[in-house]
Amino acid sequence: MDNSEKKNCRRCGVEVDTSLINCPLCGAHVNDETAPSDCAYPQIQDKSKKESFWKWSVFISLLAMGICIVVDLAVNKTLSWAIHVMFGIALPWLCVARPLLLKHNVRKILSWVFFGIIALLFYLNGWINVFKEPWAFWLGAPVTVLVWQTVLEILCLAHKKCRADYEMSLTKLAVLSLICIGISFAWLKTCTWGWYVCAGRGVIDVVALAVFANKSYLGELKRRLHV
Amino acid sequence: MKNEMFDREWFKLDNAAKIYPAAKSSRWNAVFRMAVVLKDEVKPDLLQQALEDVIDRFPSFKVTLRRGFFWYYFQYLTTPPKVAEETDYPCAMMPLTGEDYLFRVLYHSHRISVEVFHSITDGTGCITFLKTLTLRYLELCGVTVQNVGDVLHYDDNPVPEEVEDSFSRCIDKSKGTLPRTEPKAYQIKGQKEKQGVLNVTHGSMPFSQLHAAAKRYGCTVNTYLVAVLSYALLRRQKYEKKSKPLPIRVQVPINLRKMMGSTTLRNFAGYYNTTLAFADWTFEDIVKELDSQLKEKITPDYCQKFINSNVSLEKNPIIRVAPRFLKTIFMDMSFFLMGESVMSCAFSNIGNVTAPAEWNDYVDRFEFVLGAQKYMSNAMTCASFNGTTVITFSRSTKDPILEREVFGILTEHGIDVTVSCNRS
Repeated sequence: MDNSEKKNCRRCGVEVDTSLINCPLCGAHVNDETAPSDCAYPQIQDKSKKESFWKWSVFISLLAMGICIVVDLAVNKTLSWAIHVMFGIALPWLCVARPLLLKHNVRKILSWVFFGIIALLFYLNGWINVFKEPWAFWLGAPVTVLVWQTVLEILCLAHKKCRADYEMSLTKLAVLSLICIGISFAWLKTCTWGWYVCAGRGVIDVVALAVFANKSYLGELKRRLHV
Repeated sequence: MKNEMFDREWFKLDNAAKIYPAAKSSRWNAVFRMAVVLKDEVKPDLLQQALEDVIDRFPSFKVTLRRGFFWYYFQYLTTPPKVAEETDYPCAMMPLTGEDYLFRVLYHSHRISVEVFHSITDGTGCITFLKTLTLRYLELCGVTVQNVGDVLHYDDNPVPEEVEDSFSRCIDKSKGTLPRTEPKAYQIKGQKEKQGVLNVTHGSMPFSQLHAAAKRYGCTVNTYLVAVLSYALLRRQKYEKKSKPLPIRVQVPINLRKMMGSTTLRNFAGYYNTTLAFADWTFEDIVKELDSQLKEKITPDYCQKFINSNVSLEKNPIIRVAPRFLKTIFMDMSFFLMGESVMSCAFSNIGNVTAPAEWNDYVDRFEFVLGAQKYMSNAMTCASFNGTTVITFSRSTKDPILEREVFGILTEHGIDVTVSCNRS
């Protein structure tokens, strides 16, 4: 840097780099024109448009929810249809928009979507018959998990670069199915074929991975478990 | 592919590294930058060549971060890292995708910057990497160096001590632990910048003037700068006329390597929070108070207790068996409660960067930039090279309140400060 070209800020008493027109501390005008400086930084493009879109969409969603709650309370003196509106806005936001906004990978987005489907089934089950017949747990969730397992198996074969992640997701689904069998016995004192099929398929997946993927799968499993 | 240094394809995070993946959010992760400003413009192709030559010398840098069931872990990478032109704000978020490196080498005009995710190394490790990269780059530019001094040469083999987890090695439970709770401290508030924007202000000054000023007050340059920062924060709090004034607490990192006999290039730093109660202090009194705090409190015993506190928490059987997502919640909360909410500002001084004498003709200065803090708005750093000290402020708010105060005090003390910033 050539010190002879620098100018003093009268307010702050500091010298100001030649690449700047105004003093960075007080904003006072110092230089009439800029000169190249070896400590200059690149000019950054404003990337705020996308961010503003998401901010506005959250704001509008929250506003819509707020209006629904107020109107519902004013008309019915209790929350009735407003709950459905809130769920209808919150679920797609959480399970679709948010993973996309955060630029999650395909596996994570799919996980959120399937969790969203299961949450929706449970919500509908609760709304229709208050879990008197828990079909969401008996049938809805196991079928969703079966589809999820199928999608993961296809991706595991097709997407070699991220195979380890898909293999771990399949393992987690096998464990989840076994846990659900436990929950089923604890909650309903019985278990339906849906969870048995899921767990059976999960166990077959894990055994197949351990046999055919061999070291890579077991190595990944060890790593994840910090063994 | 196996990394010979670790005997396997993956390795565990060190104790200090574990907090950063847990505390990360969709909008923030802990990134800092070490940069070297050369006297000539950077040649990207030579820099790429230099990086490819140097990376194998630093096996702990050749990793990505992956999620385990209990903890995060580092996975060894085999693809060579790429240099990139700087197109974003300093210390922009590091993409923790599980496939990318946890550092990036950027160039713009005369500046080579190494930005790292704090989990892989601390300031000492990063400056060591930058110095080796600069050495190789200058070699490729035709600069021959007779005596490299403490700069690691890319051609040497890495030694196991450089990749060890020194926290685990240095634990000594018999020495006890540190109390964890500290009350809230004063923090400068201001209008927030847009997401991702970081304002960086550099103030360069002759080291001789800074040293003379510190000598006048009978303390080291480090203590002097902590005192200037504390005084600036105190003046600001007085100006704000708060009904409930809070103490000023500056977080000062401690390089544990010398005290514990370690040469690791991974994280091995502790910290000490200097505390100044809100009162009518003169600058001289502040210097005396902080000098006694920094001299008397930062002892081997304190460092040992610091290590014990951190490692004992990690080794707690309940914490060990908890799944990662539960640990993340717990660690993120403690990061806020025991970390950033109890301090006013972080100050990190990398000290005088030693380098071969031949570099004086090719290197203008070194810079050290802390990325935006998660809850605090300001951070201050310092790096010296060849008689020039660069004090850098990074902030995620609009107004340069703290830097105005600090550079104002330095100017009052007769130090010639030249300021520059990343936004015109």
